[in-house]
Amino acid sequence: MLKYIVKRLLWIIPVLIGVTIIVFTILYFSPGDPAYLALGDNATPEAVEAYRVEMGINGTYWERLGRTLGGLLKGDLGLSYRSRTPVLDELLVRFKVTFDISAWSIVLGIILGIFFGIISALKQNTIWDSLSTGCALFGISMPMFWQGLMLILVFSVWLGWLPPSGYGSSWKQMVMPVIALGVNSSATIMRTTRSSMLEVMRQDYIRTAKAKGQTYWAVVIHHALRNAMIPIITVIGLQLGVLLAGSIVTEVIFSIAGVGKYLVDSLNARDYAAVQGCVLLIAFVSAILNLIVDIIYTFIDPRMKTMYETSKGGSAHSKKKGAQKTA
Amino acid sequence: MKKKHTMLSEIWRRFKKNKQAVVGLIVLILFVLVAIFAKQIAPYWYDDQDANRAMIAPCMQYPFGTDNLGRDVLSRLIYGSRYSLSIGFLAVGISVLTGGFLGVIAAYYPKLDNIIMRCMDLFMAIPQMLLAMCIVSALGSSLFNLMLAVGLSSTPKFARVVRASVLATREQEFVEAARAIGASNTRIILHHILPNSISALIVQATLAMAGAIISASALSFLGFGIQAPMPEWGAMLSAGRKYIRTQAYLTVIPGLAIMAVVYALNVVGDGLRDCLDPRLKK
Repeated sequence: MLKYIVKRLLWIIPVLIGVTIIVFTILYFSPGDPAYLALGDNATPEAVEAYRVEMGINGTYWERLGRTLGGLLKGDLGLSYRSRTPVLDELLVRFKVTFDISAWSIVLGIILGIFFGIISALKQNTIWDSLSTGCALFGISMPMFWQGLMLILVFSVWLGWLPPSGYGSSWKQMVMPVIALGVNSSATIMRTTRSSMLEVMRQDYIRTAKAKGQTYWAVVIHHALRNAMIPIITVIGLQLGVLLAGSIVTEVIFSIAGVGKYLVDSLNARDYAAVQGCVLLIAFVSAILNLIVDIIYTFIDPRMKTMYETSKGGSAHSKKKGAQKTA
Repeated sequence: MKKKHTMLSEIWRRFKKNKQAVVGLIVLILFVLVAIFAKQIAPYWYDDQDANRAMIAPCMQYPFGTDNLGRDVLSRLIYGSRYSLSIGFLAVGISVLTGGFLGVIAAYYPKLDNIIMRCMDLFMAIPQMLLAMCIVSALGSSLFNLMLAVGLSSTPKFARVVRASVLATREQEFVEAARAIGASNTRIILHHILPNSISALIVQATLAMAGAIISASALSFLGFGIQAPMPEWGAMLSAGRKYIRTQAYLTVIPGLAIMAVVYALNVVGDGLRDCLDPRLKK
C-alpha cells in the first residue's frame, strides 16, 4: 500500500511537468506582449528589454520553457507581470479562501446528495423518488453561474437577508457561494447514490441481512450503503475537481478574492505567469485529491487493497469509467 | 436495409416508454426549429436598438421585455438559440472526431496506447473549464474559437470512452472473422468495430452537448466567449447582470433558456442510455 502511495505521489511530478508544458505552450502563442502591456506602448526598447529580463520572459520558446520548468522544480512559479511579486505567494493567500468554500460546498453536497439518494432509492417509484430525481436533474441542468445570480436575486435583492458579495468579514457572505457550489454537486452525487443503492438493495446479502432479523436502518447503513459507496466516492472525487473549476465562476459572481477570480483577472490582464500558476495549483490539488480518493477506496472496500498491491497504478482508471457520465 | 429499420423502430419503441425523454426530445426539436426559422419567428432583429423603448418590463408587446438599449429580449433569445445549439453540436462534433480518432488508435494499436492515454491523462489533469479558458484566450474570442476550445477540452473524455468500448469489441469473434477474410485495419475499424461502439458514443455525446452548452455560456459570461452585440445567452446574462436590482428579468430569462435546452439534452441522454444499452438499465 505504501509503495502504491509513493508511486502515485511520484507520478504527480511528470503530470505537473506535462501540464506546465501544455499551459506554457498555449499561453506562449497568445496575443499581446506583456512588456508593452505593463510599460505602455511608448516604452523605450531598453526599458522593454530590462522588463523582460526582470520577469524572465526574454529569449526563445525553448529558453523560456526551460526556465519555467527549472523554476517549477525549485518551487518557484515566477513573478506576476502585474504586481511583480512571486505568483506562489499571491496564490497561497487566495487558495485558503477557495479551499474553505470548496470544502464546505463538498460537505453540503455529500450530505444532501447521499441523504436524498438513499431516500430516493428506498422509496423507488414513489412521489419522493420522482421529486428528488426531478430536482437533481434540474440541479445538473442549471448553469452554476446562473444559480448564483438567482440566489443573489432572492436572498439579497428581494429578501435582503444576505450580502451579495465579498468574503471573510462574516459567515453570512459564505452562505450563498457554498449553496451555489454545493447544491450543484449534490445533484450529481444524489443520482449516483440512487443508482448504486438500487443495485445493492437487490443483492442476496441484503435479503440475508433482513432475514436474520436486523433492523431496517441497520441493513441500509451497514450492509447496503457501505457496499454502494465505491461509485459514490468516485463521483465525490470527480466533483472535487468540478468544484475547483466551478469556483472560478462563483468567485467572480460573489466577488470573492480566491484563486478563481485571480485566474480570470490575470487572463484579462494577460498576466500569463499568474495564469500558469493558477492552472498548476489547481492541477496539483486535483491530483492530490484523486490520490486521497483512491486511498479511501481501500478503507471502504478491502478488496481494492489487494488489487492495488498486486496490479500496477493504472488500474485506478478503469473503475472510474462508469462514473463519468454526469461529470 | 430492412434489418436496420427494425432495429431503429425497436429503439424508438423503448425510447417512447420514457415519457420524460419524449418531452425532452420535443423541447429539443422545438428549439432546433426556432433556431432554423429565427428570422421568420422573431418579431424584431436581434440588434434593433431604440432608446425610446429601453428597459420595458415584460408586457403584451414585448413578452420578455427589452434591455438597456431597447432591444427586444425575446428576439435576442430566438437568435441566440442558434449560437447555443450550434456551439453545443459542433463542439461535441469536434470532441467526437478528435477523441474518437485517438481512442480508436489507442485501442487498436497497443504500441501507441500508452503514449496516447498518458497524454490524455495530462490533459485530464487540467479541469475542462480551465483548459477551455486558456485555449480561447490564446486564440482570441470568436464563435469558432469558442467551439474549438470547448470541443478540444473534452477530447480526452471521448478518447477514453471510445477506447474502452473498442477494447471490448476488438477481441470479439466477428472481428477475428473479418481479419481472417483479409479485411484491412481501416475497414475493420470503420465497418466492424465502430458500429458496435456507436451507442456508447451517442449517449456520451448527448450528455456532453449539455455540458458544452453550459461551458460555452459560462465562458461567454466571463467575457471569454462571444462578445456583444451577439445575442449569445451567456453574454446576455452577463450584460443583464448589472441591472439585477431593477430589471431582474434580464438575468432570469436567458438563464431559463439555457436550462431548458440543457435539461432537454440531459433527459434525452438518459433516455437514450436506457434504451440503447439495456445492460445499464436500472
